[in-house]
Amino acid sequence: MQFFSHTHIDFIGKRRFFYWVSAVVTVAGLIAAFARGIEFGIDFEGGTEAAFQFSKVVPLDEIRTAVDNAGFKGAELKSYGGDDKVLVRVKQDTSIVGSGEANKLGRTLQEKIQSAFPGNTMTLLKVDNIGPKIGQEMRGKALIAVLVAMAAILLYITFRFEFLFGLGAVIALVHDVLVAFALAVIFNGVFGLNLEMNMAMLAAFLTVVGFSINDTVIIFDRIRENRKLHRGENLMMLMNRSINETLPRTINTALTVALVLVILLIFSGEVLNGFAFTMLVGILTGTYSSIYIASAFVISVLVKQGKLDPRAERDFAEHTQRIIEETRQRKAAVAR
Amino acid sequence: MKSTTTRLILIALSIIAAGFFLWPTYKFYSLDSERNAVDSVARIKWDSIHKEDWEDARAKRIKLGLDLQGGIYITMEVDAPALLLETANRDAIDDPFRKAIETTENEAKLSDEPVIDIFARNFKQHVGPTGRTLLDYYTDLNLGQDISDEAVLAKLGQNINEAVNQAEEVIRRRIDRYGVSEPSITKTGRRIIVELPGAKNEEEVRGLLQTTARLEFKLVKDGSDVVEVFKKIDQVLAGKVNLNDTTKKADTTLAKKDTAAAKIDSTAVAKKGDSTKKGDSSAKKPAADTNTQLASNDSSKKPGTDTGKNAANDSSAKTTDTAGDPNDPYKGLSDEEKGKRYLADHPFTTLFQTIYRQNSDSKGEDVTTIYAGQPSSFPKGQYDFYLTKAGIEKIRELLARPDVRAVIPEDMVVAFSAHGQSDTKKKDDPNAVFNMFVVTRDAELTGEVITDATKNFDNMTGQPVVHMDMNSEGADRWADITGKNIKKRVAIVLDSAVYSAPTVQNRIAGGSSQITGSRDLQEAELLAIVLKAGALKAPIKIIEERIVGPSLGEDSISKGVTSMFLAAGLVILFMAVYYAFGGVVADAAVIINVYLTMAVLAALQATLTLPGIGGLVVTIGMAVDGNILIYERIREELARGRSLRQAVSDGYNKAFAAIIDTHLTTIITGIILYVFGTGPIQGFAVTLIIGILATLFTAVFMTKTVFIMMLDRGTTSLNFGQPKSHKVATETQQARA
Repeated sequence: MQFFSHTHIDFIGKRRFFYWVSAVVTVAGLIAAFARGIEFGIDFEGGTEAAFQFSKVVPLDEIRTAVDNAGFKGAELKSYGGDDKVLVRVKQDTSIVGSGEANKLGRTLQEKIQSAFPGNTMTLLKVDNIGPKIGQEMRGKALIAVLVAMAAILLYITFRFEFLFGLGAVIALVHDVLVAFALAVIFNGVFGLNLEMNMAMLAAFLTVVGFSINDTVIIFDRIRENRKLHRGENLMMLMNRSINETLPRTINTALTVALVLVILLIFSGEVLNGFAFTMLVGILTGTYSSIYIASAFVISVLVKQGKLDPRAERDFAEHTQRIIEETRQRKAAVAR
Repeated sequence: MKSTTTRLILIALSIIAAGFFLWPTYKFYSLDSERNAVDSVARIKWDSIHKEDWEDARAKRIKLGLDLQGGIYITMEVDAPALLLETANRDAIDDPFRKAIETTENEAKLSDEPVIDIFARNFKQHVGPTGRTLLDYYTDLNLGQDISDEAVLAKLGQNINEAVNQAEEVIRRRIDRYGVSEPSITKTGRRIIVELPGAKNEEEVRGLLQTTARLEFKLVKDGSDVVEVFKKIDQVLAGKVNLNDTTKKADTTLAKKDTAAAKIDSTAVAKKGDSTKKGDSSAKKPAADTNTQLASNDSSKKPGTDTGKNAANDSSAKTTDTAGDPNDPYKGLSDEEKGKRYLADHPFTTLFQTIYRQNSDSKGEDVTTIYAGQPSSFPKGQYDFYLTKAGIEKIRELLARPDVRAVIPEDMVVAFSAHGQSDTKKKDDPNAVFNMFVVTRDAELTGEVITDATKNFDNMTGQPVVHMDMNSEGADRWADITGKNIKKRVAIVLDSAVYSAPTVQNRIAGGSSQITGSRDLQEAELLAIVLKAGALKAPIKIIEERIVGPSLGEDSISKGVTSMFLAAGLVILFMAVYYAFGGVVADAAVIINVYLTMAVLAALQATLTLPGIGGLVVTIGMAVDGNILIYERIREELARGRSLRQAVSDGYNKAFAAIIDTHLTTIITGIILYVFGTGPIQGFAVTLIIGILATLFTAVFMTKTVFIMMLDRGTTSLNFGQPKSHKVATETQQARA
C-alpha cells in the first residue's frame, strides 16, 4: 500500500499565500480566545473544586439552585464527563485555604447539596483544595517551562543545523502553541470538552512542542542530506525536493498519532481529554508549520538577505512546472 | 553472522531482565485479586501461606498513582515567618520589626527564595533605619562565640530547617500509626508532601497532620510493680482471649540491644572545658546481651520459632529448679502441651521479651518467663521490655480493652520507642526491635522550657551526644526532678512516642544537660530535633489538598486502559496493513517497547499515573514514527533500484540521523517537563523519557536485527508494502546479482 509517494508539489512557491493563512488563523484565534476569556483551572488559580456523582441524573439548573441556596453564590458548575457527574468550583478568598473552613468545604458542599436531593445518593469523586501560592507558582513555572523548552530547541537545532533553521523551527513552534492555545480556549466547554488551563494542559503544550519539532527536524535533516547529494542545486529546489520526499512519512506519522489522539479524546474521559484535544491540534498544525513556516521562513530570510538568487525562484517555478508536465505525460503514456 | 548473535543475545537479555522486574507486578496483582476474593475467615489461612510473597511482590510492583486508585494528597508548609516572630524576644518586638515579618510573609507566599534571605532583606529595609540590629531582637539564641547578625541569620535559618525536619518526623510517625498502607512522605524545601493512597477520611487525616506535637519528660516506671501489673493483665486475658483469633504472625527474633546506656550528665557549658566529668566512665555498657527468641502468640507453628514451647520449657525448668514446685500448673504435661498452655495463660507477656537488671549498670538477664511465678518472687531492680512492631500492634489492641485498662493503675501509661533498631538497616525491617516503656501519666516537664538542643561529640569518648539547654524556669524544675530521681530513667516523649530514656546520673542544676548513648550521629541529630519541638513554634499550614475518590480512580483506570488498548490496536492494524511484513515486525517492536518501558518503571519503583499512561500512548506514537521513517526510506531506496540488502541497510543508516534528532528533542522537552512539573506531570515526563529511550532499542535495533537475520538466511524478498513493481525489480536484481 502506498499513498503520497513521488509527489512533486511546489510547497515553497506557495509560501506567501500560506504566510497569510498562518497569520490570519493565529491572530483571529488569539482575538477570539481573549474575547472569550481564558479559564484557568484551580491548579493555576487556587480555590476549591469538588466533583460528585449522583445515582440519578439531576439537571444542572437544579444543582445550581441547591448550591446557591447552600450559600455558595458565584460557584461555578459544570458537567464532569457525564450527565450524572458534576463539578462544583468555589473560587473562594483563597487565603482561607489551609484553615479549617476551607478544608471542610468539600464535605460541606456535599452535605448541603445532598440535603437538597434526598434519595439521590451522591458520591464524592474528588476534592482539590489549592492555596494561592501553589497556584501562582505553577502559573509562573508553566510559562518558564514552555520558554525554556523553546530555547533548548533553538540551541539544539542551531547546533545540529544552522541558526537560521533553528529560528525557523522556533517560530513554527510558537505558531503551533499559539494556535493550539487559541483553539483550546475557543473550544473550552464546547461538546462537553474541559479545556481549562491546568497542569495537564501544560503537559500537552510541551508535548506539542516536542512533536512539532519532530516534523521540522525530519525535513531539515533531509535538506542537509540532499545538499550533499545534489550540490549546486538551489535551496528552494532542495527544500521542495526534501519536503516531497519526506511527505509519505509526514502524513503517515501525523495520521497514526492523530488516530491515537482521537481515540484518547473520545474514550479517555474528562481527565485526559483536554490533553488529547490540544495534542491533536498541535499535531496537525505541527505538520503544517514544519513546511509552511519553518522551511518557508528560512527561504524568505535568505531571499531578503540576497543570499538566494532572485532568478532562482523563477528557474525553480519553471523547473517544477516541467516536472509536473513530465509526470502528466508519463502517466498519459502509461494509460495509453 | 557474529554480530547478529551478539544482537540476539542483547535482545534476549533485555527481555529476560525486563521479565525479572515485571514479575513481582504480575504476581502481586494476581495474588491480590486472589486475596480479595476470599472472605475474612479464609483470608487468615490465605495470609499464613501467601502473606510473605504478597508483601514481597507488593514492595517491588509498579505502584498506581493516587489518580488511579484514589486517595489523599496534601502539601504542607512550615510557617517560617511565624517561627521568626515567635523566636524573637517578646519585649523587643516593635512596629518596624512586625512590618519586616509581615512583608516577609507576603513575599514568601510567591517566591521560592529561602525565607531567611527574604527576611534579611526586609529587616534591613524596615528595621535598618532605626539603627537596631538582629541581635536586639533575638536575645535567646545560644549563639556561642560568634555574636553577630550573620550568626543570628544562620541560626534562624537552621531553626527553620529543623522545624521542617521535626514536622516531617512527627508526620511520619503519626501516619505510620494511622495505618494507611504505603504512605509517601516527601520533603522539598520547607514543604512536606503527604500522599496516602486509598485513604478516604480527609477530616481524620487533617486532624492527624495539624495537631501540634507535644514534647514531655516522663519518669519511666521499670520496677517490679510494673511486672506485677503485667502479670495481672495476663490473668485478665487468660480466660478470655481465644487463641484462634490471635493468629497474628509475630516474628520476634530480638537483636542485641543497647538502649539502656543512655545517660544524662550535668555539663553546664562553663564546665565543658573542665575534663572532670562525672559518671562518664560508665557511659557505655553492654546492655541486654540477649539474642533470645521470644514467645509470642505465634500459633503458625513454624519449626524453630515455636517459642511458646521454649518458654514453657524454660519456665518449668526454672520452677523445678527453685523448689521442685508442687504447684507447677503444667505438671505431667507433654512439652508441646506445656507450650500451648503457657501461651494460653500468658497472652500478654509472651508478646515481648523481659530483661531484668539488678540496677541500671548491671548485666541484663532474660526473665521472660518470670510471669509464671508469684508476684512475691519478682526481684527488685530494673526491668526492660523489648518487642517487634507486630507485637506493638497487638499490645495496643489488648491495652484498648476496658477489662485490661481496669487493672492498669491510673498513673501508668504504656509507650513505645519511636524507632526500632535493626541490624539489617533495612527500612521497615519487621525484625527491628522496639522498647516498651511504662511511664507516668503526667509529665514532669514539657518541652516549652527547652531553649536549644544540639548534637555534638563528647570530647572524651568521641561518642555522639546531645546538649540540651533550658530556660531559667525549666532549669529550676529540672534540677528538682533530676535531684529526686538519680539513677532513674526519664523518658523523652514526643507525641506519645519515646525517643530516648536516659538514666539520670546526678542532679542537674543550671539547665544545661548532656544526653549520651546515642548510637550514631544520625540518632543524636534526631533526638536534638525532637527536643527542640517545644522551642520551634512553627505552625504547619496545608497549602494544597487533593482528594480522589476511589470510584473516580477506577473509572480513570478503565478509561485509560481502554483507550490505550484501542489506540494501540488501531495503530498496529494500520502498520500491518500499510507496511505489510515490515509493519508486523514494527508492531512486535512496539509491544516489546511498552513491555520494556513498564519494566524500567518497575525497576525505578516509579508510580504509574494517568498522565503516565498518556506518556505511554505518546511513546507508541514515537515508536511507530521511527519505523515509518525507516520503512519509507527503504521503499525509496528500493524504488531507486537498490538491492534488498542494500536498501535495508541504507534505509536504517539514513533514517538514523533523523531518528536521533527527533528523539533527542523529545527527550529535551521531557526533561524540562520533569524539572518544572509537579507530581502527575513528572509521571508523564518519566514515562515519556523511558519510552523514547526504549524506542531507540526496539524500533531501530530490534527490527533491524530481524531483517538482517532473515537476509542472512537467504530471504530474497521482504514485504515493506512497497508497490509490486519495486518488489519485482528487486527480485530480478537479486537474481542477477
